[in-house]
Amino acid sequence: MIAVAAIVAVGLAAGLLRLLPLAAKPTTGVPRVVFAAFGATSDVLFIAPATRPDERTVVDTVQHAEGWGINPGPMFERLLAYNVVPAGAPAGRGAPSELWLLNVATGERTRLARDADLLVKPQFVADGKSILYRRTDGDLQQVVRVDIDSLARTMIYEERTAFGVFPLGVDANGTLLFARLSNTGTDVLRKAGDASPVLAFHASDEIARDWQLSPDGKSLAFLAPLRRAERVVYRAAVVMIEGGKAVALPEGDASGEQYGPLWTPDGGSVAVGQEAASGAATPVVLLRAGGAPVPLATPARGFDVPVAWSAAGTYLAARTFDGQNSTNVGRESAVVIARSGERYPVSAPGEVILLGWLPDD
Amino acid sequence: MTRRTRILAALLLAAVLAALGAPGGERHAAACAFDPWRPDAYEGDQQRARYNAAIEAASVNRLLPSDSFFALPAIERGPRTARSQGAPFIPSTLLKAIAWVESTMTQAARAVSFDSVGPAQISFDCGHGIMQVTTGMTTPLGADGTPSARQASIATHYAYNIARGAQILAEKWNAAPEQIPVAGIDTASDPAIVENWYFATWAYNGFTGPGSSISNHPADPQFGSWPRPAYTCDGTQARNRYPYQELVWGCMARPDQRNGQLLWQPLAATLPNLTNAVVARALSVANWTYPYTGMDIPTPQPAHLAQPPVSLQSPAQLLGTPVFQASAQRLTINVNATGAASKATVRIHNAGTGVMTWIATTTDRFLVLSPPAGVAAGSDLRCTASDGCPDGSLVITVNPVLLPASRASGVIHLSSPNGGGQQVDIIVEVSAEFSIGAPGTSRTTP
Repeated sequence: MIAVAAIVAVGLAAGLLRLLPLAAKPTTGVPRVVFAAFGATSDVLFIAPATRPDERTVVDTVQHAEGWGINPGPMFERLLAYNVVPAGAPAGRGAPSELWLLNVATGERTRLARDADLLVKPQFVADGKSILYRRTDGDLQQVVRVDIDSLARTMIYEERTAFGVFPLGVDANGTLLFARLSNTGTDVLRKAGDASPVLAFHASDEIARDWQLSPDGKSLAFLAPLRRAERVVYRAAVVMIEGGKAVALPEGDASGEQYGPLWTPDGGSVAVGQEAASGAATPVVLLRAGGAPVPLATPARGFDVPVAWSAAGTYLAARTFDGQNSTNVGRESAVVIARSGERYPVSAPGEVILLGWLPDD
Repeated sequence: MTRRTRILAALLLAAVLAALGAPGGERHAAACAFDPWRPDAYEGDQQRARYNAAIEAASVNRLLPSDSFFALPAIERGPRTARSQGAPFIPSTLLKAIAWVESTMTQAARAVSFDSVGPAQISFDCGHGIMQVTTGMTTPLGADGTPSARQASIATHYAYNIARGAQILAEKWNAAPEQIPVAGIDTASDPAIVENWYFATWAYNGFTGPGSSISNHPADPQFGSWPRPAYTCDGTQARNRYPYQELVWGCMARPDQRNGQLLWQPLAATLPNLTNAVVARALSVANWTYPYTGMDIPTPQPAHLAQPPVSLQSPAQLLGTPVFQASAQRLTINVNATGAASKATVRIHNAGTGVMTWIATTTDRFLVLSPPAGVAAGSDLRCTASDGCPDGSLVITVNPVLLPASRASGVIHLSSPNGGGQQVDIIVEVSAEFSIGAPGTSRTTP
């Protein structure tokens, strides 16, 4: 509540906070970014025009256990799914969290489950009619599909493991995709109906991360650690799900770290952040097989990590760091990067959690 | 007589159960030592000066050195194949940061004021107090299924809680190399180097991961998009984004403030560099196999040498000299027909100084003791704004459902683990004999 009050007070003092009706359309027609401001006991969710993030409208306030914020999955159109440990409930990463669905446009909220693993992001399936989440009982992990309309839940995969399985979504054939960690690294598996899962491809001998299913459901982009000179750096990879063939991306700075691979809405490119040289700045680049990297607007200092594209691909919501790389990260903030070259900071008293975009109006 | 008791029991059941409902309203994953009740604890000053002093003493085994259950053990050091025992020592800043991450360094529940007494802080997984001690606190360990005196001390008294937490951390350290990896293979695993406590700190919260729901593996993708900034320990970042040891490292470097003063001197310890090929290879999933022999790492650089505290308070200053005072007495509780839970209250006094833990037990299950343990503050302590200050208060309620007859007597044993060896017995006579009348009817009991 203190955080909420602080945000409101700051906004009013600056004359920036416009309490618009939720359904009101922005007058300029620019897409609206959706984000949350973390607070100690509640996260406040906002929407704001891409070019004026300070002109924010409160969408909702999510109370949570002290210190433990929402863990959102990628948005599907106007829908946001997130895990949260509710206020007053036992806190901790091992505590059962609740899975909620929020219609950002209307503010309507629905609790879908009360047994989700807080740290594992929920994932919409391609048609937006159901959500995948993970739950754990001891060493038994289960991937559950919950139907948004009926709230019916179906356990679609389970495994006893000391490691973890992560639902990634549903591919172009409607087949469940999930990543599985083990002593041999990271595998991506497919599971159709009641059939046993089959290996789609071996992603890494180590821990791969930050999975992104392509818009057509045919490819996965992700980060995997690679040995480069004296360092081990995360590099972006793209693999075709059918056949497991890797897609060669332009190397750019081949020895440097890459961050946050994110498909452009048309599926033609993957945006990645890249580490900066000491004291310098490095932009996000769009990588396309067979093409030259296309840079976006460069930060004043440091580097950016892509999070979500607006529907038309004209704006990118990104985390931005004023440091150099994962070893020297510096301070984190949030920004909207326009394809036309402008950068619009998204600020809040606490951590900004970028959630996605409302569809262009 | 028996039939009447049954009628009484039925009529009073709902009202009594409602009156005796578990305090706090929190769910517990499993029964804890005092469930469903919650002992009272003493909460010290807001500046945490009392707790910091106790932590510094505990860090060099100067808090409770003569009690093997609470004393800090010898700390092992040296290479994996030639470990040797050395002086008991934990960097005190590390303990302070752990206490902060675990409980914001508070012994009592958040609603309890500083310098007062109130319900102890107990988490859903039975973590108790400042150090959120879970080990040995999940089931009652005393005689006849009642909580033990040690459990009462850990739940109610900050010094015993801190000492036990420090001992558990030391045990995690000493679990290397048999059960967890060694940090500091290039520095003889010197415990004076803060960075060498990386795996022990990880293990304090659970040597888990990667991918599990309670993972602390730093490369676990569950901690959100990579990379992540350092934890600032100021409440502006969600804890879900960080493995436990990074929370602790962040709080060591950036202690909170109260009244314009830092709660401890910052110590910017270094985390393992995950891009370092040696570290990355050690933390590989291929090595995530008990007892993790392939996960040893060199000391993260730059390393920081922790110095023993310069000036320590003596155990006498930290613990005081509590003196238990309670009167052996005979009480009578009459259970009436109104449905209200009849009760009696016993005061427990500390005629000495410091925090005195008391514990009450009974094998007569119709006697409900609330709280089952607590504290009484000595004359040297600030103790304000609380019913339980400075004297402890034991409320005895009768659960008529469990009465063996309409007249019964039971015995409550009252003692103090640190207030002298005296035990006081309180005899409680219960009378539940009365007539039940209903409008329009008249009944005479046989």
